[in-house]
Amino acid sequence: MEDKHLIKQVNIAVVGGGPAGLAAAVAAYDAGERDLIVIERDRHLGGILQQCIHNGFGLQWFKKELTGPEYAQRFIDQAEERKIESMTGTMVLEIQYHPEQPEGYTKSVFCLSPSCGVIEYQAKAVILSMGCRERVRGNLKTPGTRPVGIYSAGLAQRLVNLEGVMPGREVVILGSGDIGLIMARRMKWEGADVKMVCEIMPYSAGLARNIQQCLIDQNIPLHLSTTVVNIHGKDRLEGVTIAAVDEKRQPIPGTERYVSCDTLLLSVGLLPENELSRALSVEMDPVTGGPKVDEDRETSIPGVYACGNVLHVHDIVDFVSKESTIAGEAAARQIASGNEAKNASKGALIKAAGNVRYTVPQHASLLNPFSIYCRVGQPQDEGKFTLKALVNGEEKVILTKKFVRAVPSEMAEIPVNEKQLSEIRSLFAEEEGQLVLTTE
Amino acid sequence: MKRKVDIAIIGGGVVGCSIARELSKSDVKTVLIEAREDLARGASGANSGIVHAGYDPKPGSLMAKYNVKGCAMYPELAKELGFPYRPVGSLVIAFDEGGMKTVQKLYDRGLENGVPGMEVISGDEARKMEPELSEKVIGALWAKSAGIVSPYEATIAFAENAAVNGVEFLLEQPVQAIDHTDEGFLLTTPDEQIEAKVIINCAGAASGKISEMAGGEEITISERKGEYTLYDRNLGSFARTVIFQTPDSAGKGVLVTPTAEGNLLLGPSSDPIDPNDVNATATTQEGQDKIFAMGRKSTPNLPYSGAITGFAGIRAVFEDDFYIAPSKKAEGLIQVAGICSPGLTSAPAIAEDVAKMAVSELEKLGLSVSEKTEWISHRDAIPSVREMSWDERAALCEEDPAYGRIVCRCETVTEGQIRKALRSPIPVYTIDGVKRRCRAGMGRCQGSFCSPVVMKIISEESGIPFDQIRKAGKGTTIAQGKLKEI
Repeated sequence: MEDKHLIKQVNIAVVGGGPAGLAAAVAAYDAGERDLIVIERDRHLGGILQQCIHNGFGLQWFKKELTGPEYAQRFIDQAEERKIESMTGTMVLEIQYHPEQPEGYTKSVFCLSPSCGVIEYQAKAVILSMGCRERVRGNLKTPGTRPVGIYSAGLAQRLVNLEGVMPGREVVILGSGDIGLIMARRMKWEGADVKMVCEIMPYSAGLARNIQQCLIDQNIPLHLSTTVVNIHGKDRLEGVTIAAVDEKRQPIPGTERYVSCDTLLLSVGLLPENELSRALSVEMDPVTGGPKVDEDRETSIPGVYACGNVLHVHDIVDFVSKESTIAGEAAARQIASGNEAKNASKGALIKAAGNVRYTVPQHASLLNPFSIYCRVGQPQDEGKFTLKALVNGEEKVILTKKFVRAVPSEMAEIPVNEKQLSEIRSLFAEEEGQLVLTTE
Repeated sequence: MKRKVDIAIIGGGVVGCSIARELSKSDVKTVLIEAREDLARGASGANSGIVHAGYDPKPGSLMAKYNVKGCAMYPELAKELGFPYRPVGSLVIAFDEGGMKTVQKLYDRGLENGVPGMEVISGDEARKMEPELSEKVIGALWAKSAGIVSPYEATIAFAENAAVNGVEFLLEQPVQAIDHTDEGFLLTTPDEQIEAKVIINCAGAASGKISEMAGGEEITISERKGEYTLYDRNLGSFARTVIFQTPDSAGKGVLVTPTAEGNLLLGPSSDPIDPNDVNATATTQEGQDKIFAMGRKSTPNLPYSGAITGFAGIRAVFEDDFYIAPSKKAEGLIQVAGICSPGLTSAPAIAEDVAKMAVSELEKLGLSVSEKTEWISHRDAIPSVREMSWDERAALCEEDPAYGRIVCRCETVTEGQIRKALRSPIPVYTIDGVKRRCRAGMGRCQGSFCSPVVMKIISEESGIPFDQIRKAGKGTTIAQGKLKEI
C-alpha cells in the first residue's frame, strides 16, 4: 500500500477550511505550531461564508460589520500571512486512529485530491471542522409530488449569489432558520414574490435581527405553528398545502390552505456533518449531533478536536471563531508539551437539565477556568442559569447567571472563573461528581 | 427524421432495455423508443429492487417461469454489465400459525416452481440472520437465491450494452400514432417517423394505449401505487436480507431491505390509483405512515428519523399474469404487457423469449436473421470510487485526476464518474440522469451541495447553457431566468 499513495507526516491536520478550520489553524500557529495543514474539499477556502454575501458578520469578533466573504477573507489572509499550508479540492474520506503508532503520529487522515490522488496525512492532532448540512424534505417526510422547485435554502442561496440564476418567482419558505430568512429577503430583492415563511414551532428558529430585517422590514408574513402538509405539481412545483399545527406539531384538520408557488425553500435545521467522526468512533452527543468534548474541544479520542458547526450548530460565525481558537490553541499546546492524553479520570461531566437543552463542553478537566456554552429548549423570560455541583447526591450551587430572555436560536455563555473552579475542585477532591447546568 | 428499422421496441424500462440487449445479439436493426427523457422512468425506476427467488407466482404461470429463470441470470448479468447486485437472500416472516401455513405453502410452491435453496426456519434462526427482527416472529421461509439490485442502473446497463451493440435509442419521443403500411408499421413521434416491420410493446402503464394505436388487442391495465421510504446509508446494515411479511391479495406486503447500493428501503404500500391522475406518483401521509407501521411490525427498532427521501412507483397490473405473446389481431405486434412484480427479476428471461418471437416474426416476413459474429457482452461501467480500496483509488486518480475530485460528498462521487456518465453510450444531460448513473445527489443531502457543480459539468459536456440545465423532463429547468431578469 505504501508505494501506491503519498504519505506525509504533520503535527496538526485540520479537516475543513471554512471559518472554523481557518480560525483553529491560525490560533494553533499563533500558539507556536508551525507544522500544520488545512484540508478543504472545495476549490476555495472560506466554506459556506463565501455564498453568504449579506452583512451582519464579525460584529463580535472583528468589532466591525462584514459580509460573509469579507469575514472569510480576513481569516484566509491571516492564514496566508502565516504561510499556513492548505490543500484545496481535497476531501478527507477516512480518519483512522492507531494509538500504537510511534512518535505520536497516531491519526491517519486519508484524502482524495485531483492534484495528488490519494494522500495519507499521519498527524499527531486532528481538528475536525467539517461544518454542517441542511435538513432536507426527506428528513421531514413531507408528502406530495417530487417536482423541480424544492430546494434547501442554502442551495437557493448558492444559485442566486454564486451562480447568478433565480430558482423561481413565487416563493414559499418552510422553516424560519436564518438562511431561510436571509433568502426570503434576497429573493424579494431580486423581484420574486416571497409569499410567506411557515414555521412549525410557535416561535422563530432564527435570530431576532433577521426576523426584523428580512421579514418585517420586507413585509413578508411569518406564520408560526404552521407547516407544509402537501406538495403539488408534476414537473414543476405548482403549489403547497399549508396547515396550522397543534402543540404536538400535528396538522389541525380543517386548517389546510393551498398556496400557489413555483419554489419551496426549506430552512428546517442544520445537521453537523459527522460522518468522519462517527466512522472514527468519536463519542457523540445525540442532542448536538456533534462529538462530546471537553473545554479544550478535545473529543473522546486523544488529540482529536472538534470546533464550529461540526461540533454544534452556531447562530453566529463569531462564536465559531472563538470556539475554534480554543481548539487550535489547545492542539498546539498539546503537541508542544509532547503529552498526548490528558488524564481522563480527572474532571467532571457537565449535564444539561431543566430548560437547558445541551451544553458544550460536555466534560471539563477542571484544570483551567472555562466557559460553558448552552442553548435552551424553549423560549424563557426573566430567568437564570444555575450551575450546580453534584456530589454523593448532594447539590451545591456554584454560580447563577440571570437573563431577560433566553431563546433556542441564541447561544448563551456561562463563564466559570478561577474562584468558582477551585470551589468545584474542592468539592470533587474526594469523590467524583458532576456539574449540572439548569434554568430557573 | 425518417428511419427504417426491423424492430421498434416501445418503452425504455427494464423489460424494453433487456429485450434491446437480447436483440442486439442478432443481425437486426432495432430501435428503442422512450416517451420520457431517460430510461427507467416508470415502474423500473421506482420499485423495491428485489430479485425474487420465485416461490410467489402460481405454478405454471408465465410469472413463475420467468421469475425463477431470471433470478438465476442476475449474478452473471451483474458481472457482465457492472450494475449493483447483491445476493443477500430473502425471508418471509410469520407471526402466527396462519402465517406459518402461508410460509409452508410458499415453500411447496417454490419447490414446484423449481426454486433452489429454500428452507423453512424457526423464529430464532431467522433472528440469528436478522438481529433486528421482531421477537414475535415464529418462523420464516428463507430463500437463498433472492437478491437485491439497483433497478434503474440495471435498466441503464442493459440499454448501454445494447447501444454499444448497435441498438438505437430515441429518448423523449412519445409515440403519437402508429399506422399500418405494406411493410409493417409507421410510428410517429414528435421528431421522428419510424418504419418498423415488428413492434414490441413494452410500454408499461401505457401498453394498453400502444396496443390500441397498433390495432392490437384491448389491454386493460390497472395501476397500483407503491410508496417507499428510503433511509440514509448509515442505516444500510439495519437489515441484512430482504424481509417480507407474508403476502396477501394486494401484493407481497411491506418489506424492509437493504438496497444494492447500501441504503435501507421500506415499502411498498399498495393502493389503487385513478389512471387519469397526473400526480399519481405523489407520496401521502397515510401511505408513509402505513409502511412505517408495517415496517415496525417486522423490525420494531426501525427508526423514524434517518429517512432521506420518499417516493412512489406505479405498477401496471394485467389480470393475474404477464401478457407476453404475439398479437392475434395485429400482425407484427408483440405484446409484453402487465409486467408487474416480479417483472424486474423476470426481465432478462422474458427478453430471451421475446427476442425469439420477434425474430420469428421477421422470418415470417421472409427475412433471414443470423447471430452477430462480434457481440460485446461486457459493459464499460462507471467505477464506484466509494467502494474502492485506497490502492484502487490511487491507481484511478493516476489515470485521470478527475477521479480525485469529489463532487458528491454524501455518496463519494467524483467528477470523473460524472463525466463518464455524461459520455456514456446513452448520455442524458439532466441532473436526475447523472444521479441515476453515478449516484451524485442520491445521498443524505439530496444534492443540496453538489447540484450546482453537477449542472456545470453537464453544461461543459453537453454545451447546454447553465441556466437551461434540467432536473428531468421538459419544464424542469433548475433556473427560472438569470438574476435581474425578473
